[in-house]
Amino acid sequence: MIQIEGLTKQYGATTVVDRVSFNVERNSIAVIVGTSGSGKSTLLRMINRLVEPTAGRVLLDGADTRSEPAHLLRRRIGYAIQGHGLFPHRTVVENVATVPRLLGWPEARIRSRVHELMEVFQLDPGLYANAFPHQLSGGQQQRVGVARALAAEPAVLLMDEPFGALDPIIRAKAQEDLLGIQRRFGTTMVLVTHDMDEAFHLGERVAVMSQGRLLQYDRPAVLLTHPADPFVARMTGITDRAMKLLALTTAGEAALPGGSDGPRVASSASLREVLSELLWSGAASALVLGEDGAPRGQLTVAAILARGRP
Amino acid sequence: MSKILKSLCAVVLLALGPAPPLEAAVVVSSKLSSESAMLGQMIRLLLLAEGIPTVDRMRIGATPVVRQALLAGEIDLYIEYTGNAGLFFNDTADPAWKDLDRGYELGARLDYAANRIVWLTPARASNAWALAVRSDVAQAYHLRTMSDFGRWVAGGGHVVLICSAEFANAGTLRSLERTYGFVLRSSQLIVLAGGETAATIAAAAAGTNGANTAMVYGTDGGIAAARLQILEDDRHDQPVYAPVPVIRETVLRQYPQIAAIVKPLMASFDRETLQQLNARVQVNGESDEAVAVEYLKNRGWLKSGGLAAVIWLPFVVFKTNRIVPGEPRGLQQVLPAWAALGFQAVLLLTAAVAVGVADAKRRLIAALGGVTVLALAVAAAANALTPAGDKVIRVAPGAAFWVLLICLGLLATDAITRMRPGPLVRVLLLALAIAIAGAALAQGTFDNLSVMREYAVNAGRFPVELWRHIWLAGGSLIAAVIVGMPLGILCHRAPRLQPPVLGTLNIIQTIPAIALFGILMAPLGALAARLPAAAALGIRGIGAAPAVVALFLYSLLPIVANTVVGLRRVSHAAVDAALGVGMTPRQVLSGIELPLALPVIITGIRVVLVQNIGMVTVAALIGGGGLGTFVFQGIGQTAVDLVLLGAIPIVVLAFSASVLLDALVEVLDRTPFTAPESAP
Repeated sequence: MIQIEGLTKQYGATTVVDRVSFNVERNSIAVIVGTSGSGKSTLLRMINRLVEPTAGRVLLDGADTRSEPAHLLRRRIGYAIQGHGLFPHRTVVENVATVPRLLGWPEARIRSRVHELMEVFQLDPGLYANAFPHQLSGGQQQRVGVARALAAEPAVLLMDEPFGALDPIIRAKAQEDLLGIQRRFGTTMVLVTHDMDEAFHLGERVAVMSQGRLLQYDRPAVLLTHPADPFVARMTGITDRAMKLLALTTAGEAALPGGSDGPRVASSASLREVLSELLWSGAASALVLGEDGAPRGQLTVAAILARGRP
Repeated sequence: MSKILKSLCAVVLLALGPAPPLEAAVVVSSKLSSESAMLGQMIRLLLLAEGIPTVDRMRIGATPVVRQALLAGEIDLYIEYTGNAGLFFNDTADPAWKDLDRGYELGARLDYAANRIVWLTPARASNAWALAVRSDVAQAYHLRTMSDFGRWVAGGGHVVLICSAEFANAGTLRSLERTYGFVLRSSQLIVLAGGETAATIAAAAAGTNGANTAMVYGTDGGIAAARLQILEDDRHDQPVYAPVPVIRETVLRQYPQIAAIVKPLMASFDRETLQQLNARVQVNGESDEAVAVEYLKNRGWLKSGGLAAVIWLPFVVFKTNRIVPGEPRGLQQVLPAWAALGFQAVLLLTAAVAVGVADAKRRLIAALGGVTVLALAVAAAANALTPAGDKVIRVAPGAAFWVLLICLGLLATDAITRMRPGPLVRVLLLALAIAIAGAALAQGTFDNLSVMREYAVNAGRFPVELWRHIWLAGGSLIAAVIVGMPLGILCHRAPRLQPPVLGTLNIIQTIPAIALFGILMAPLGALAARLPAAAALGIRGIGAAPAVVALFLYSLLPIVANTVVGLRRVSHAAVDAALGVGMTPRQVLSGIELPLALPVIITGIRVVLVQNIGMVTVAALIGGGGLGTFVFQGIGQTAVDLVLLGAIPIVVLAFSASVLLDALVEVLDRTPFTAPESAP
């Protein structure tokens, strides 16, 4: 879907992004993670040409992004940023309708799309349609920002620290919502963050950047078990990497046949959560229940611990 | 604020009081003639200077009217002429009337015995009625005395006499006819209802309706200047008419000092003095009041200001013409007692509300009520002080008026601020205030106030200069916006440009306005001389061009600076998001940056407009026109009223502009200030 080939950005003698190449598969979420100054935001902004590359290219569905004017390209790519970047002088509806208006959609289509998105993002149109951004809470502002980015049904959504300004509880909720959105619309997403937990939680693949270079681009479990570089290992966290690994697998995936009279856990819970529950309750095994409430199997402490090793 | 208001109320009370005791004011009156009014005015001013309250009722009518008013007690004092007593007591035959001292003694005795009227000191001059003929007629027919005149008329001489009704009907003319042996047919008479010898002299001098002979007074000043020759009363037909102040005894009892006050004044007059004073009114066209004031000042009897101003601030300032320093008048001296007391009651009530009532709406109503009553009182005072038809007297609001107006204005603005009205309400309030004031002005309520007097004189020019003022201030503003906003956008886009551009504009800002006008006169003059096209566009060294250019240059800094600041305060995230979702740079500028920067830019425009409205005033000095024309004309003529005619509309314009644009900023700025965020 998105092919990044040898992308480089230099400001004078400084190389901010250095020959980065990777692909993002359709309908997947790729997360670029790195410390500040690693070049991750610049990399993201080169995808929609807010920053023009010094060298290299980006292919979108096989076509070079430079084959059309930058502003037309950007209208096909959703863009959401930290601090939401809402237009303070425009209402929620006007903000969300920005790109459809630019594309010249008919008014009726704009109205129904905006309405749909507000429903999806749990913003009651009756209450918030004509509200101004400063009248919303931080979480609501963030949701309006993402809704605006998705308004024109883009195939690709770029997000730069979209949850950076949110407190931890709202942030967790926003992350779940984003996964739900991704499942619902099948949007291909590229997300930049400095938070490794967020990267592991959201990303099917995670790109680790440092000093402008891409150190490793792979599935989270691989980053944990086979870090390509000491920096990646440090970034992924040496002291709790086993726990991080457990967090990547759900109880449903790891469940073994059989029953248990220990605590009951949902199949969507991570092994880390199940282990924590078993430690807390002192039981030796837990019963895994499916979404329909029917038993799916059981998990013992030993089985969980086995999964925490590379 | 309420503490300040409380001390303001103290100021109000100080401005009003201690109110002078409500003594019976001495009503000073006069006949219609300018000499009579001038002498009456002198006496009134002297009484006032000595602390005796007076009422001005000059020129209420001819002798019978004034006499009747005195006997009826409607007036207290006026200038009579000794010889008239013969008529009052039907004793014109007594030879005593033909001698000043004997006539005075006889008249004084008779009038006191019959009417309890006291005759004060007479002037040593006779203002007897006499006839004056045109010099050319006198020379042609060798007319020097009344005897010559009588012979000439009796012999068929062509004469047309212009005189007052009083002269024609009260026996004076008949007596002259009898003594000198002639008779005038009605076709030879032009009888004026009024008693003004100024009119009869002017008519005879101009030959109006064939008049060649005029009724005059012996002390008239305009006779020689009008090329008339007075005919000597060689057979002493006419009694002596020495001016004498007459006063009702009851009033003199109340103020016995009046006799002593009036004595040196009356003793200072002789025939020549009176002729000179009369000449200034009749020939030079000065008002009799102005001549009176100056005479008293020259003699050291009147000091400008006066004690009254020290005791309490004057409510209005009374000026006998537009350029003399005014005399202060308290409200009690001007308005009837009930009106003055009512006015004070309303103000005290307002002050009580200001101190004791917290509700903003009531405070506002009290303040507006106070302002209304204040405006009506000053209009009433002006009307009371101005004789009907008089165009010379000036009544200007005095210190007490201004102090009260400021206090009430503060009370009103404080109340409005507390009520926090929306921008629309504020604009409506302003429009309402202007509409009410405009209606009152159109109605003529304030026509007798000094500023409106100046307006009446300049009514033709006023709208022209007003529009010109608005055009100069607004035109230079529009030009500055057209140039300044793009310049500001450029400075925002290329921060390197900011220091040189803003630095240059800062330096321009420090040049005094009049110096900048001067600096611009040379290059613009040269431009006009070189390029006929430029001259055709109105670009000249003097006039509107340098004014507009200078104001334009002054306006640039606030507009450029505010555009830069306004754009800088636009959230970087919003701009980044706008670009990121596919807006073109132009769409970002017009759709995001400018709308968000607009409140700050409009604030700059507001600063510029208010500044320009004030600064355009100076443009009048280089021929740019505008309301400054009145201000500088007024300064040149030391006519404060004319200065106010220019200054008050300037203040109103600036205030209205700031209210309107403030409201606009508030409407536009519906988002809270968002601090610039660092770029991601």
